[in-house]
Amino acid sequence: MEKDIDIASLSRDLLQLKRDFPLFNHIYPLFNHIYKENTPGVCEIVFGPKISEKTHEITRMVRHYPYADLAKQLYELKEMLPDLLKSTQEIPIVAFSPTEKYHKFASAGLHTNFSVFAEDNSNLFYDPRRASHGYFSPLAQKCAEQLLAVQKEGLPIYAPTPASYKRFGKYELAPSQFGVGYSVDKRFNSVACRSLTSIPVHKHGQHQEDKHIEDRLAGADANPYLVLLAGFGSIYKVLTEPECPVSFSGPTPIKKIGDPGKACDAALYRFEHSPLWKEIAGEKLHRDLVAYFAQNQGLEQDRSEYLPGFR
Amino acid sequence: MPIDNKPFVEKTGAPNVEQINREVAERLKFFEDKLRGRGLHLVCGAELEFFTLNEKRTPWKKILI
Repeated sequence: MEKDIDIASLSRDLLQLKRDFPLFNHIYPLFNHIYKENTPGVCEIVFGPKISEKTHEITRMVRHYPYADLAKQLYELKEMLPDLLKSTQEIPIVAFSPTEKYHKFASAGLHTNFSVFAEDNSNLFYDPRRASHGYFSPLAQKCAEQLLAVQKEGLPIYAPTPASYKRFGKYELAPSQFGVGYSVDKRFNSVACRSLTSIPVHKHGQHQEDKHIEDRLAGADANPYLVLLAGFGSIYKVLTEPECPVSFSGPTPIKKIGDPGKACDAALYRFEHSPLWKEIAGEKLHRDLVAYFAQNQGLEQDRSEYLPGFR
Repeated sequence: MPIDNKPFVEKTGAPNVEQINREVAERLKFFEDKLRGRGLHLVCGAELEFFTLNEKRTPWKKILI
């Protein structure tokens, strides 16, 4: 998978992309759709171990996928999309606040999904005895709560600019609180314990490989490398220090923590003084991240470039 | 509450995004190796969602990746 991608060439030759970069097979139908059909509606493309009736197969396929490569692909995809969409007369908008009229579509941004498998192919997030908890194991519960703590102290990663905060809580599919949800309907939570996305948990409790934790907090403007680091770091911490308690203070409205304008400063302060993040990222990386965010904290997306008249 | 990070940035020089990404990739690799040593495999996927505007044909398209 170690290939250099010439981003400029992607929009000119999608078939080349398909041939050279197998994982982009999943994305090819989307581009095909945009170029040839250009029909209204929602395009949905699967990338990674998500979340359809074929989840089992897909999960197996990506089990040994190098995570840094996944981040790399997402990053390059983010870089590539605007150019690609320009050539189709589309205007790309990063996922926060389009217009009131279409507010109900503003939602997700960048979600990441995690599960942990043992050598015997059993999903450690699954526990057949815990029907009352949607068949999620205590380990899954603890990982989710740890991720929550990581989110609270790592907001600069999830919301890198002041505009990123406008997304929280304002739209029906965007998270409005730090909390863990055990149902597909609880989209207002920043962490979700899920099986198949669109099917209620209780119907699929027996499908252990579907069990995963979803990190729903990041906007599309977040850096995928860092979002993955938050998820992996949380799970790694729980797996390597099982006795270590998680400080979990229950659901908290995100707005309370970060209001647009003041949010970046406050979030950076918490991040800089977070022992949890020092542990997850390591001293050096943590220091670099603080400097990196401090440099960028005043950055506001130039939204007028994307959409004239944008508020 | 807000902290003045400028002296720190000036003193150390903030890394660019490529450096950060490289460091994070190394950290992810570290996690991966440690967990594999214990016989565990993390599975990960991602969805990236953009919105597009095409005034001529359809107002909004949601793209999930």
